[in-house]
Amino acid sequence: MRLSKEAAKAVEAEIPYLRRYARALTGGLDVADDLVQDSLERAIARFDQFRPGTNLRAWLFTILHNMRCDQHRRVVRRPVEIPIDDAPHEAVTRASQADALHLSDFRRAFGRLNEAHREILVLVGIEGMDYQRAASILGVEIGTVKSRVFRARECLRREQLMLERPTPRASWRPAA
Amino acid sequence: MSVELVVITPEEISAYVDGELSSEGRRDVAACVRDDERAACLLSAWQWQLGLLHAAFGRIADEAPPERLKLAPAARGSIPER
Repeated sequence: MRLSKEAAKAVEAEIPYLRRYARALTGGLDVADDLVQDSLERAIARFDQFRPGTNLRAWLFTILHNMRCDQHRRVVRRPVEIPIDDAPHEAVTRASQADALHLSDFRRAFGRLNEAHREILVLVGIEGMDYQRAASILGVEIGTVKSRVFRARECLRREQLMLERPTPRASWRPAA
Repeated sequence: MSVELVVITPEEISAYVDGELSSEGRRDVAACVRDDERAACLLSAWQWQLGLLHAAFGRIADEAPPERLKLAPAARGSIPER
């Protein structure tokens, strides 16, 4: 299937968002880009199934989600901590050192979540999708999204607490 | 005299963070957060978490995709071979 110029332009504009979604899911740059590439190939092959006027990003995210599920079905995986790429983004370099440490801990905590929790936090927390749209991408009920977001937040909070760095205490001396 | 008790669950506070509650629901959660320190802490922790999520992943979408992910200009509808 070949795309019209407009369709190709619209798909290309979504690639950065697909990469972000894939990166949060897989944790690695190359494996994420492989997933995006596979998803784009599938999207192009099936572009006649996309209904104009509906949300292209949601459609592409659904494909990426399904591709990822296919990968899981092919490979039986045990839950592992994924290293979320710690590349120094501008936001980090501009932040204070303490903020950078918080961010580094946060990435580690996020990497310890299971994939379903990472995924829902990206869709709702980063992409700002409403629960209805996230449910449609994941193929679940809206109530499942609501409880999954809550559980993901709680798991992440617990992981953050476990990684929390001790606050330096002010030196204390007994009164003379 | 009857007192109406409104029970707010942590799940509703989470939905509040995402703007998924009705106006009545938002009012109830806001009142709960005002009166209950634990609810306020939870809300604050999740809002802080949301900020970190954006700081950790937000800028990925600003990165230019690698060549292999760009649609081939001469043949729109295909992507370069790996």
